[in-house]
Amino acid sequence: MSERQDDESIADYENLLRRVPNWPNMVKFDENTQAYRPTSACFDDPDGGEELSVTLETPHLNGGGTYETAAKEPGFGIASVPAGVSRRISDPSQKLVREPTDDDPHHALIVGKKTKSQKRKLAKAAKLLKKPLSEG
Amino acid sequence: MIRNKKIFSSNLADWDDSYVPDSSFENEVSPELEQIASKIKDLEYLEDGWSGYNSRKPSTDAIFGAGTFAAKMLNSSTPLPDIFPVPNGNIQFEWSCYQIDLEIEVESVTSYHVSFEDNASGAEWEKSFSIDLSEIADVLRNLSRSKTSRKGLQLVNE
Repeated sequence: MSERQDDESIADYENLLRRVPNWPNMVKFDENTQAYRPTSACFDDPDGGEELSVTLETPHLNGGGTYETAAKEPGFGIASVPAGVSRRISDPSQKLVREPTDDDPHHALIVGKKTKSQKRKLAKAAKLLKKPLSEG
Repeated sequence: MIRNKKIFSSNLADWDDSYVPDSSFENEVSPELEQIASKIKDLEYLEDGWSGYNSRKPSTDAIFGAGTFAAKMLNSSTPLPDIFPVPNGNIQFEWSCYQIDLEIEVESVTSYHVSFEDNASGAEWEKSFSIDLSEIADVLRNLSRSKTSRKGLQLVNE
């Protein structure tokens, strides 16, 4: 894992798309910023978020994809975080790595150990592009 | 005194009947605490895979721990937290208000992972706790004070 190299062809201004589950709805109103944003739990996984799945926005949209298709599941939302912010949440930096999958040719990973505070930084920097739909 | 058992009765057969909440716990179960209890109970219905193929449903330990934490540490003066499942099976309480960001991830009744940030002063820390939750109690008390003083200000301005 540590031998992964940062892919510099992913520009700092590229947006990384992250899925936001709709049940339970993983969005909160941040009174400090007066805006809705995903919880930091959206930037976690069972392995501590060490290899966090994202989709590269520009090639995804240029290839005819939409935020709906990036969400994959009906009702799921989409949040975006700039690549540069994702790299710099930690020191040493996180690495961005392309890792295409069968269902997502623009799939990438944010690679590196992430503390709770660093996951929160991702969440605070995230922009909600598509709100998850409430169930029922 | 209303027993805490009443709040989380369904899945918590091993609730400790001898537990007596600390002095800050109100004798009546407040509507706020009922609301929190209901949110935690809802998470029992999650299935594995709720947030991707390898995400885990909240563990029994986390649900019990979150319920105990709420009953012991929160009261009607505490700002209402957001409550979320974490893909590793834990449950997280979050506050983003009064310039404070506080996240308390409950793994079990004796395991809490906390991150705190004061956006006004820039103070920031991250720690794990087991038995002694006094530092968390201090932060929650400050949040409650902020809520109370804002309410007071609103009343003065009305």
